[in-house]
Amino acid sequence: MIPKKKHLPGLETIKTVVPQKHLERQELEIAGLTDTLASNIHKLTIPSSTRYLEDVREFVTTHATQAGFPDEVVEQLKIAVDEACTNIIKHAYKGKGENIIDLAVILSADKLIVRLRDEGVSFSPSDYKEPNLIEIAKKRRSGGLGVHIMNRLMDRVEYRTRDGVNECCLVKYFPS
Amino acid sequence: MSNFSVGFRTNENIQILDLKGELDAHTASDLEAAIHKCQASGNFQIVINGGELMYISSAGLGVFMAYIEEIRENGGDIKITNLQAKVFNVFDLLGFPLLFDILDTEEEAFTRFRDN
Repeated sequence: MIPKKKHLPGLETIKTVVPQKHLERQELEIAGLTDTLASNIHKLTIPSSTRYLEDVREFVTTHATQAGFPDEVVEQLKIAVDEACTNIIKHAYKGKGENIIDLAVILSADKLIVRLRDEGVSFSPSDYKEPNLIEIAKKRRSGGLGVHIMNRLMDRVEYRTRDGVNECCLVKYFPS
Repeated sequence: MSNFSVGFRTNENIQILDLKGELDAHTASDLEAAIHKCQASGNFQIVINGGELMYISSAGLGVFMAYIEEIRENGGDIKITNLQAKVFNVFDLLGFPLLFDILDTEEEAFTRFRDN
């Protein structure tokens, strides 16, 4: 069997497992997550190609399940992160596969955050319009639905850009 | 290996596509090719059997959106059947039941094609 991913670096080789505790501490303080330990961060780096979406879904499923979310919420996180990654690949990086997307699942006492970082064209949520399904069908377009899915399924979706790095955070609170 | 595949079956004049696996931005082109193949051979009455479809993202849903108008203009339709609850939830979230016939069984889809 020919490995499908032979043209791109193997996922295992770029998966970062080195804990950078000092740096993480600063990042967490910035994000207002001072109660979070660096051990509650899980990272994955992927090339910006749709062929890695299934790895992203597996990564999110594993950590959301371990965090104790019910299956239904794990499904919601899985699809929201897939949509966020797909948008980065197609829009931020315009389908060019040689770029990198950094993902992190960050757990704190009350919530799980999936943070996605890219260095492509930034997304402006203020320019986003809710899709009208009938209009999309009439225009024979196939996209524009991903952001809607993210907004509907997550408790919060936040975007920021700093020093050329775009960050999208998908936030899901634990059921109280 | 891609974890998505499309199987082809027919029932009289109706083309049935059996979807299996996970439909995302990577595998959506396989579904696109399958629907294109139906159109090219003049089959516009299409039943999508989602019984073994484990996952769908907006990229997969977008394929149905991209083709439905043209198929209806040709007197056909795409009817979707046998969806698992977690997959139906995604269709429902985006309001697909307003635009598509989403049915429990293939037989219901066949009946609707016959009655129209």
